Amino acid sequence: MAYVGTAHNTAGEHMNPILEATETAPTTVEETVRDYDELHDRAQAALPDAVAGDGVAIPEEVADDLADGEVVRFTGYYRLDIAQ
Amino acid sequence: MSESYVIIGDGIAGSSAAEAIREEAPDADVTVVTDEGEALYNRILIKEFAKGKLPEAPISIHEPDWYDERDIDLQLNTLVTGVDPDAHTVETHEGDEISYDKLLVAAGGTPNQLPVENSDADGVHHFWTFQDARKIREHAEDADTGVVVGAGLLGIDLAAICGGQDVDAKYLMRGDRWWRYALSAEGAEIIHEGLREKGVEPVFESGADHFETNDDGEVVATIDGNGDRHDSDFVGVAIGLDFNVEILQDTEATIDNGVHVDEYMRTDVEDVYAAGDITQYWDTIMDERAQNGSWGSAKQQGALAGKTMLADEGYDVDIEPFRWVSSYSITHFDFPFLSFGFPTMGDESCERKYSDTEWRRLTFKDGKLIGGVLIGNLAPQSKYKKLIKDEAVVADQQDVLLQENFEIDELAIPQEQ
Ligand SMILES: Cc1cc2nc3c(=O)[nH]c(=O)nc-3n(C[C@H](O)[C@H](O)[C@H](O)COP(=O)(O)OP(=O)(O)OC[C@H]3O[C@@H](n4cnc5c(N)ncnc54)[C@H](O)[C@@H]3O)c2cc1C
Repeated sequence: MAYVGTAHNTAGEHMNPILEATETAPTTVEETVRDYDELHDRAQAALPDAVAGDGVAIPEEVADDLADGEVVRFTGYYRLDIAQ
Repeated sequence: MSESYVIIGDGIAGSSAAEAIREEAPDADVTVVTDEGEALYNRILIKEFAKGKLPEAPISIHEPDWYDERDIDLQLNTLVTGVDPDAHTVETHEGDEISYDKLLVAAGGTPNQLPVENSDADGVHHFWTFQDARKIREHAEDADTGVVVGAGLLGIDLAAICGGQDVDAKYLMRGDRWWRYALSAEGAEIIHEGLREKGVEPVFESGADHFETNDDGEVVATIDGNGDRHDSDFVGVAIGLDFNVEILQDTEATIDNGVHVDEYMRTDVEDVYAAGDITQYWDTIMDERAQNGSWGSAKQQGALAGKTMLADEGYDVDIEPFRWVSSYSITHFDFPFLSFGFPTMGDESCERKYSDTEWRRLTFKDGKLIGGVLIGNLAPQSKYKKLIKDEAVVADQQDVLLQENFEIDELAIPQEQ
């Protein structure tokens, strides 16, 4: 699992929320979708790793920029899962 | 009587301003006027609709309810035709006058038409609104052959739409590569390959000389500058924007390919502000005037303009000068692309290729990093943006900056910064 955080984060890695991104079919999406360019810089930094791997530990403020269950368009369409 | 805020444009800049104003001023009159027939939607994602990937619903951002709930008067299908700063009124195409205490112009731009024969023929598309996207989608679904003109960030969207809709398309570029002001031949070739994989063929040292039409006035072919004929029952043109400044023409506002604003979004006209794509703003990082054409920047400028309007009206709100490193991604391919800062400016640059789909270029001015392009690996973007914001003098440490993974504390940054 990758870690996308600041060097000064003192919380134990296991305490951070885990972001997972699962590719989804856009044609079936009904709710509002956000594009990568609408995300905060911090969330933009985390998303590519989440897309590439199983899940990334993210700082709380990144979790606050994203919504559990939302769909984001990057190189595909990804449904986000944020486990606290 | 409560004060009145009028906003021209319900794009992301105008809408963000309305939201910021309403949050601080619950009793003020807030009016948003737009010539479009629908409330704020996601302009970034209309290309996905045109590709046939996304349905309409996920592209909407605000339903009309959003305005009702906030007591914001949204006037759709209403074109503002002029501003009278002495009378503090704006005039609409129907001759109505709307009074303002503070006015925000967040009117964006309109795509330029090619100055060539038949550039207004049926089937020649420009791309800015959801309505444009609906027409593009409908046409592209039926089209067999296509041509795209305009080797920049919007042109590539039209090319990707052709690819997504199985239109056999040629992408005509004036120079020897896509976005030649920001990419070297090596970086651009990664994009060209991505286009080819989508079935879109880049054609270099080309460009549209004129279009041929059939008896019904529909485009059938594009003749390029070399005299070559390209069948094209679909044509997409993206050669830049004409900013919607004419409504300010009879005012003292400084207009120069956009409207001049200070770092708080104030124009030169009292009580008139501007935000978003339309601004030539004072960039406090570059110490010069600049213009951005990106969603994030327009959103920040809109929110700041709203707060400045409140502060100038006497509200106790904190305003910070606009200091923003803009970025813009392209995600049509298997690999992502991101441009940040001002990748087409500067007096020095460096670049490196890491793999067939991974490449990076950085630009510097007076020794400071000012922008760049990342292909494949976007991970370093926040570090680069921080260095730009900090105005760090780092041009002498390009080897560190170009390492696949680098940390800011590996750089020796002079202390006086
Ligand atoms: C197809 C496409 C793809 C894009 N992709 C990206 C991307 O991937 N990433 C990114 O960051 N940016 C992207 N952009 C750019 C981004 O969408 C813009 O920078 C941003 O939307 C600008 O917002 P704005 O509010 O300043 O202007 P606009 O969104 O243009 O809004 C201005 C509004 O004012 C209205 N208006 C104009 N004149 C008048 C008048 N006289 N009276 C009343 N109303 C008026 C217009 O109709 C419009 O609705 C894209 C743009 C397009 C078109």
